[in-house]
Formats: sequence, structure tokens, C-alpha cells
Amino acid sequence: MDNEKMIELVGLTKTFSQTTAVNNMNLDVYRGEFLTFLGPSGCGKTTTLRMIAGFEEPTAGQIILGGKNCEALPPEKRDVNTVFQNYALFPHLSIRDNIAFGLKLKKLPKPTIRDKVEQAICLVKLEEHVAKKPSQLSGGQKQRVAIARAIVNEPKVLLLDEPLGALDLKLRKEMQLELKHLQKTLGITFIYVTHDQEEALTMSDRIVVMNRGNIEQVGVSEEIYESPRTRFVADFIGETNLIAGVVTIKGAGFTQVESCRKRYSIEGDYPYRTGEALTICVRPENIHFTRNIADVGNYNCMEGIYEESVYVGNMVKHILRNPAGETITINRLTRKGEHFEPGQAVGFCWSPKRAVLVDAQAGPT
Amino acid sequence: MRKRFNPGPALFIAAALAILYIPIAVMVIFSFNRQEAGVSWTGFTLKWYLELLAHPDAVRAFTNSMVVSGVTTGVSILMGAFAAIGFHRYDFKGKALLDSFLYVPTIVPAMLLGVSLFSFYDICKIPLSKGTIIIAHITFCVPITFNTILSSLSGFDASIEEAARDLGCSELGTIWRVVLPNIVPAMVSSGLLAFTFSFEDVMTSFFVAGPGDQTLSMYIFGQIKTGVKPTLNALSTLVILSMVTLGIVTQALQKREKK
Repeated sequence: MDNEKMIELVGLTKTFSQTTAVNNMNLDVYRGEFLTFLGPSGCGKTTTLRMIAGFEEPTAGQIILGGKNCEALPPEKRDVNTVFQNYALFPHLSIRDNIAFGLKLKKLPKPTIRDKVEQAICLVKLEEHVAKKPSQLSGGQKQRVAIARAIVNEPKVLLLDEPLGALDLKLRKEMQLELKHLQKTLGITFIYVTHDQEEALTMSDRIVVMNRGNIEQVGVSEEIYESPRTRFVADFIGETNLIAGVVTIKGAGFTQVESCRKRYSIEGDYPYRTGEALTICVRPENIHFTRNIADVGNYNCMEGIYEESVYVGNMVKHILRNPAGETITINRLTRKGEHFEPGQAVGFCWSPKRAVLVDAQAGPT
Repeated sequence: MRKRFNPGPALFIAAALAILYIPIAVMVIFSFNRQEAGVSWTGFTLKWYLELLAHPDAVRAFTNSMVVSGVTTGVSILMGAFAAIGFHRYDFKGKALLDSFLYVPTIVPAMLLGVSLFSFYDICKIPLSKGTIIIAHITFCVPITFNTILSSLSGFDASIEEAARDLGCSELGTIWRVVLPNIVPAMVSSGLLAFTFSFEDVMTSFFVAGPGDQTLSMYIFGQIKTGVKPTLNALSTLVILSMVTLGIVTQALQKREKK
């Protein structure tokens, strides 16, 4: 990934009769990067992708593709290709002809087409199936055909609209890694749309978290997971505990927050002013149980009423309720020495380094 | 416990099938009967078929029917396909209304259709000819082709068309390279159906046929007035044979399309 801009979205907006699907979006996509649009359904991620592909016309704003404004270009004139969620293979053509479709339209010489198609077929390991029709393939194989059909054209940018959504979990995980390796091998810029946060974290160089047509946060996987900037991102990515509070002291490198009549120190510089309401986010894996709330060093401690525990295989999930009535989830690797009765008061604590502050309300509406 | 065989339903089905098929079977058998009148079997012959071929009116009626139904089918497939593609791809004002209008000719009684077209031609001073029959037949055949092709298109994923655009097809190129190849089976099967409807129509044709433009169905209908002749049996047998063949081909095509 270098610094050359492949796509620039400038003030991109799309309004359908009543609703704003994409609201004034500004984003640069760099050459060779794997960028993911992540968000719940209806957040505008697919609409954005469709505007880049040319299937939807922006209500306002510009899409600059490789330095050229492509406002007036129909989909067939844009140097991008799409992998559709439901594969969208041509049912009347063989696998080979499906893959060759784009190259034939470009009127390339026949030997060139044959070579490129052959290469693409090898790349997605479909050598045995080239003569079959799409209806004879499994979901995973169809997906490979769809990918081969797109990348054989060597587009500037490959757009992928939840391409693994219809596959079962195991196959999806395999394909995630395969796609990531494919992207690194080819060096093509990928824009990937998904609502699956784990998929986004696994595959992406950068993640664009979207909500209600707005970008909530752009960053690499670790940033998005460990330093969510909005309550929406904290809540949407992974599991998190959200504890409401009010700023009492704004210090250098830390912020003191009052919650449930106790004060907690959170490390880091935040733009919140004294007296402002906000939310403390702590990941369930960063919370420990403590027997003695008074003696935990500089850890932040709270007491809650124990509700239940759930065994989920690789860990034990404990559910508590804090004095403010908020649900607290604590994930522990083992149950060793941590058996509690429902209704029992239990102390828990977290490091000031292991919590972040976000706004009190869910992001802009 | 084994279920005891109950003859009731089987008998009922046998009776229903008998009522449907015995007259047809009798007609087919008697088309090969040597005796001209009466119900007794006097020996096998093909002379009624040969006599039929020597009958200029019957041969002309057959030719007329082939021309009328052939042209009707061709035009209906094209109009139906274009209309269906338009309906499938574009949204426009009055689409729902137009959709219901396209159903109407299939439920309007054939006689009313004939009467109304007859008065229309009369008002417009259009002389009756094969052309006027063809127009009449197209009115009730286009809904058949249109609806069959439209339903085959509705099972056609819109993103496949987008994929074609994405890979470099223009809008028209997409219709030609991707949409049409996928609706050919529906076009053929609906065309065969349209042909059958056109071929067997008597009522509408009766009103809008010019002199000398008698179709085969009209000819058969006319011959009945002078009693059932063995040549008529032979002719009907031929018609049934060709219709059944068409029907089988249509069904086979539709089955293949579903796969």
C-alpha cells in the first residue's frame, strides 16, 4: 500500500426519496490497500459501493477514480469490477465463458484471452470445472468464479459486496484468508463491504465503520477495536461494556469520570470538558474479578450483582449488573476459583489503560 | 397392516378419463374405417386421408392456418419478449394498469373479441383478409407470450444484468448477450402455446376472416353442418396428432427451463 490515491470520495451523498443513505462522505482509498466498509444493514455501505461501481447515481458529491472524475461514466466504462453477493454468474455460459466475458468485450486477441482466463482459473483453483455451467457448482466454487471473472480484467479497484455472506462459517473463514492472500499477490485495491466485524478485522488494512450514512471511524483493525472513537464503534465492534459517567477532572494524560457515585481514572487525552456526560467502554476480556475492592492498586473497581455465567467453549462469560443497572459482561478463560451465586455482590476491576471514553449518545443521527 | 385396496377412487378416475378420451379414440378409430356411415368396423383403410389430400378446400384451409398461426406466433413472441423485457427492467407510470390490461384479452370471450374486432375493421374500412385474422389472433396470443416470458424474467437475478454492465456491456449489449439467451426457452415454449391457441381458434376467426381465408378449424366447423364424414375424422386425427406433439414439446421445454 503506497500513498497514491486510487479513489477519492468528495462530499458523496445519496438520498432516496425520504432517507439519506450516504451523507456527505469524504474518503481516500490508496493503491493496493484492502479497505473494508463495515456497518449494520442500512448504514449505506452497499450504496457507496454501488455508486463507485456506477449502478447508483450520487445525489451530490464526486467520485474520483485514478485521478479522473467518473460522474458521467456508465458502469461499463469504469475501471472497476464488482464481485456480487449472490455471485451473479451468467447461467447460460460455461465457467470458462463466464470468466472470459469481460475480456471478450474488450476485443483482446484470442490467445491473450485464453492465457489470462487460464491464469485466473489456476488462481482460484477451478481447473476441473471450466466446462461446467454455474448451476453445477457449489456456493464456494461459484464465489471463486465470480472473483476470477472480476480480477481477470485487472481492474484498478475490485469492489466486493458481502461476497462471502452466503457461505457457511468454515468455508467463509477459509475464503477470508484466501481473499486476503489473493489481494496481496495481485496488488489490486480491494473495497470490501461486510456487516461481519470479525471478517473486517481479519482481512482489512483499513476499516471504515459506517452508521446511518455517516463514517464513524476510519482506521486499522487495532485502532478500531482498541480505541473506538464513538459509542457506536465501541458497541458495534466486538463485545463491550458501556458505563455512563460524567467528567469530574480533566487532567494531563488522564480523565477522571464519576459513575455510580465513584470516581474512575481513564488514561489518555480526550476532548471532553468537566461536567460533560460520556460513556466508559471496557472490553469484557479486560475486566477481572477482585475479592477486595479496597486493595487493587490503581485499578478501577466497581461492585455488581452477579446474575449468571455461560460457558461458550473457549471462555466463560459472566453476566453482572452494576449499581446503575447496566449489564456488565466479563469474559474469563477459565472458571478456576470463580464460582458465584446469582444475587451475590461481586467486585470487579479494570486497568485505567484498558478503558476508553466515548460520547454519551449513539453517534450522529 | 396393509391398506385394503379401495376400488372407488380408481373407478372414478377411470370413468373421468373414459369420458374425456373415448370420443377422441372413437374418432381416431373411425378415421381408418372402410365404411362411410354407421358404427360397425368393416376394415382398415387410409382412403379418407388420401381423399382429404385431394380436397382443395381442406388443403387451402390448412395452408391458411399455417400462415395465420405461423405469423401470429412469430409476431407474438417478439412483441411479448420486448414488452416483458421493458416491464421487467423499467418502472413507469401506469405499469400496474397496463399489466392488468394485458390480461384482459385472455379472459374476454372469444366471440366478443371477434364481434368487437369485426366492428372495428368495419368502422375503419379495413377489408377482411388473412391479415385481419392475424391481428385478431395476436391480441389474445401476446398476453400468453408476454406473461410466460415475464415470469421467466422475474426469476432472473437483476444483479446478473449489473454484472454484465460491470464487465463492459452496454445497456443494449446486456439485453442481447445476457437477457435474451436466458429467456429463449420461455420464448419458444410460449410461442408453441400461442401457436396452439391460434391454430384451434374458431370463434374469433369466424368474425374477422375474409372470403377464402378460412382456417382449418373454421373448415372443420363448417363441415360438421353436413354431418360427420370419415374425411373429417381423418382431418381431426391429424390435427390432434400435431397438437399433442406440440404440447409434448412445450412441456419438455418448460421442464428443461425449470432445471
